[in-house]
Amino acid sequence: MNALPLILTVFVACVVEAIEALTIVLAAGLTREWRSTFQGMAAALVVLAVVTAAVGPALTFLPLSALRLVVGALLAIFGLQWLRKAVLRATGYKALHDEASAYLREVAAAEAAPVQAKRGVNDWYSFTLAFKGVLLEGLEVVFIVITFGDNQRNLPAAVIGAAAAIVVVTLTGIAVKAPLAKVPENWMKFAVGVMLTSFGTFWGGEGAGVRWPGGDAALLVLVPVVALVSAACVLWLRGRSAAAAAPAKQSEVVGS
Amino acid sequence: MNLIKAFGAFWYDFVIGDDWQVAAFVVAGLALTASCAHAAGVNAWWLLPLFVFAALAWSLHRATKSSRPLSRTVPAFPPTPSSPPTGPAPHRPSPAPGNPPAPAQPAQETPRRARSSPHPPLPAAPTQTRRKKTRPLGRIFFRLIPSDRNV
Repeated sequence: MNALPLILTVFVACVVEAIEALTIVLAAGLTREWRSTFQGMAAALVVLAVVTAAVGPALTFLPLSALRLVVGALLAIFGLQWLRKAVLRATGYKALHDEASAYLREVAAAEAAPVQAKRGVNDWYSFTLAFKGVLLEGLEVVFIVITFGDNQRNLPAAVIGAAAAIVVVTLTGIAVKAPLAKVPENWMKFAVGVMLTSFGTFWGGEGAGVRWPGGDAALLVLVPVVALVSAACVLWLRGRSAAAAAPAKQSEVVGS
Repeated sequence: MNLIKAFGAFWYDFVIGDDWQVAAFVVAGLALTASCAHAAGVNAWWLLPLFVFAALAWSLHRATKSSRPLSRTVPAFPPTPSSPPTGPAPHRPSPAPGNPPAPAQPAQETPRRARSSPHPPLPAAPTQTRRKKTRPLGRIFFRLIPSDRNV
């Protein structure tokens, strides 16, 4: 299979996670202290690099069918989670993830916390805030990089996609010096959810012993079908929300 | 012991997420597909996608069957002291049977984020209504469908 879909999927997924990490890092750095924030960020990146370097190559020793069965199941579950949230947010059943609001909450907490030097770090709060933010968001990136890279037997391509996303988001963050609130995050999550679910279904099926019609070309059908079914879910829920809103409006008129 | 519990809870939340039944659907689909392929010798490539679509639809149905959508509001940024909330208060959906009740504030973050935050939750930022920027997926699709006026 061409490496381009792999790189693009990993890139978009990593952009979403990197934006969320950037919000936390900016809140810590701009309101507290940049040095401790960078130390926390660097420590988290080292942990993530070690995890990727240890787990990534180790998984390639597994038989391909077993790897695809396990990884396919995990990716499908992971992708369905993303899709579920994106559909609920697109139809208004769940509040949109808002970087500006998240940034304000982090800033308020950072301003209230006391400054405390610890273990060679000037500001322990900034360090831990940046460390936890980058580590938690980064773990999802590592999961996607390892599963996609190992399944395609092309870990370097997945790493390139992730690294490009981190560089793009970091440079944009440095230029803007504010959370990237205007990025259509929910759309990107929807797209990534479609890709993760499609690849997970494809690899999971292969791991379970299925021979897809057309081989790898089946993905070219599976991805649009998953997208269409998800879009149909959005339309279905919008119809349901309109139906739920109609009796409420009627009762308001009667009540007034 | 608490550390082990927290470690397990983190990975459960990371892998399984908000709805365990999604994972159950996927595992059941894989098991059935493998049984068909290995025991019955049937190449049931269509079975797993069906389970995946059913998982998504079922999970969405459970999440929305007894709730109404939230008001479309976005927070004011940067915050201004003289900008009181102008939008209607977001409606909190009542929890579906079998689901845990929602937190006190409208959930801007997923439960995983909320739990992993290093500080206690703070009051939500002031919000203002923004209608023009909201472009839900359905509206895009409706544009593709010709209406009577366009035809």
